[in-house]
Amino acid sequence: MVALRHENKIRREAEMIAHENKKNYHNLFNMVPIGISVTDRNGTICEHNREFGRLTHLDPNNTAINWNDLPVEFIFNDPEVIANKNIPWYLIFFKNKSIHNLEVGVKGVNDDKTKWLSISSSTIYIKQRKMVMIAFADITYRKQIEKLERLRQAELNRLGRINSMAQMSAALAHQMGQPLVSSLNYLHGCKLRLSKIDGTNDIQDSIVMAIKYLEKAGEILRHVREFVCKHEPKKEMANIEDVIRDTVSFLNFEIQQNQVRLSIETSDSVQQAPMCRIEIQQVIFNLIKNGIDAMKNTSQEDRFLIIGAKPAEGKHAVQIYVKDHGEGIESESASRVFEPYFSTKNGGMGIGLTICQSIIKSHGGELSFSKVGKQGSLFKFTLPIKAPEDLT
Amino acid sequence: MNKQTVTVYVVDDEESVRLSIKWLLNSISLNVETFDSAQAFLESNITCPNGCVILDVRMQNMSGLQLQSELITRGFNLPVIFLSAYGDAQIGAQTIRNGAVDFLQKPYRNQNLLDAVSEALKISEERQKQQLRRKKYIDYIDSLSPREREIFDFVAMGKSSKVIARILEISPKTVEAHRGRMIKKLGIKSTTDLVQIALLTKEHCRTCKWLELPELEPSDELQE
Repeated sequence: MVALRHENKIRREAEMIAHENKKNYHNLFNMVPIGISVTDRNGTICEHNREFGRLTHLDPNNTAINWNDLPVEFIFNDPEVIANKNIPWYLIFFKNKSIHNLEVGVKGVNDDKTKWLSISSSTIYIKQRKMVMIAFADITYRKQIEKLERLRQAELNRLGRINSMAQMSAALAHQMGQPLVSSLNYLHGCKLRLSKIDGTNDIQDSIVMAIKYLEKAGEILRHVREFVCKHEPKKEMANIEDVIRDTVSFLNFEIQQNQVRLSIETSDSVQQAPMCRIEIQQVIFNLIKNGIDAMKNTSQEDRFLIIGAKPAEGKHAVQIYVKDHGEGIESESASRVFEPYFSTKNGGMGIGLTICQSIIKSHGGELSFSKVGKQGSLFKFTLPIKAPEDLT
Repeated sequence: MNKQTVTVYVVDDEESVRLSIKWLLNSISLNVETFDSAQAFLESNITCPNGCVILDVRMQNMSGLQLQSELITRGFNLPVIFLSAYGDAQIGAQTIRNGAVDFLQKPYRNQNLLDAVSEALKISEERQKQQLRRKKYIDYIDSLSPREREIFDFVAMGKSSKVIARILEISPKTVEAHRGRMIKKLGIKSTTDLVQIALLTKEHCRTCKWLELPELEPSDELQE
């Protein structure tokens, strides 16, 4: 009898411990930041924790649900949607295998944000029934970082390519310079010789035209070279209108090809500012180019681009602006346009405006952006009229 | 000055540039000689008194810049124009400091080259005139008799005819006569010019080339 009572006590204690353990286990089960579930042969999710519910958009009150009824779809990297019957961690159920860190995306049916999961699973036995236990770890953040890293690497590579392209262009400009100079020498010689012979006026005129076009080619070459060559940023006084016109002439082809009507507005009250000419040209170049790109879908008769300069209000500075009549920038993007690697263009690198901004900052000016009415964007930047050392 | 003796020397390792410049300058009746390297130009030991040199900045073995310094060391007298295929502003500034007439970047405008050449030839002609004048003055000074030389030196010191006459114990009239003859023979205008020429009695001033010599009377222009 005593032995029985003793046995009873032990059992009760054991039961209590077991109960406590179960409670603790259950708490832990719900607390861990890993989604855990147990599935039976029919695909019914017999047990799951909170994190699993969160990751699969599962209703907390719903205790038994089938994989087929989850309000999410799983996708591979491709991105290919995985049919519910082919869910890999469920298939292993029949093969007695396990899965380790399989990366799969999960997307709510009414949600377009993809979360990324690292999935592991293995078969277990509960009450002698074969089950499959599946663990979901949320790796969305890691994936984002990785993606950013990849983009950054791609951009670095691209910058590297641009750099070697610049070197190639310089070499090209050098090599083309020689034959160009030689042809010009010959043509000029011909013209001079013909000028001594009567009745050759029409030939002379055509030679003059040939010279003119070759010199134009030379100009383009010089431009390219100045633009791509490495340079020391040195600030010198430059005529703003000249700088604008020079840059526009560089983009003439693009302007014509896109049938853009470009007008230049200048003011007599601002003529000169200290600047690194090539850098400022690069900024204007970028802004005009962006403007042209923004109007790709604008109807042809509406493709206006205005570039101008005027005194900046209340400052010893000049304001240069580029106004397009394009699609404009959506308000959620507007705050990000100067962010590195942010681009609204397909295949855009997202560094053009960032570089522009750093150039303008180094000149002691400001680059800003605003919307124009319903359509178009206005980019403007200021340049101090006096060099910083003169102001002190 | 006979135009045919004026020669433009083109030194460029790029054949097309060399020959086309020759064609261009031949068109304005200039005599042109071409060289494909700096060495070839140095080896030919040009002694032409009137003309100019067109040099490519970058050439194999010896660059245009090196050739320019070598020419300066050798006392070569013809003005130099540089052609550059690169926009190397620093080299450009260096060549100009070393006395180059112009630094043209390919592709340059032809008119700029023609202007540079005509500028260089003008400088060369002026230098040649100076050179001939210098020679004439030096020859004259060297051919003076001891007495004439004495008077020349005193005049150069700024002494008046009276003073010179007293020192040499001759009549002022004789001194006046000597002075007049000297000025006439040298083809100069005044005693001031003579003082300037007197610097040529110093060995250093004969060779330094920096000395500006007085202009000649138009009627007495030098002949070769």
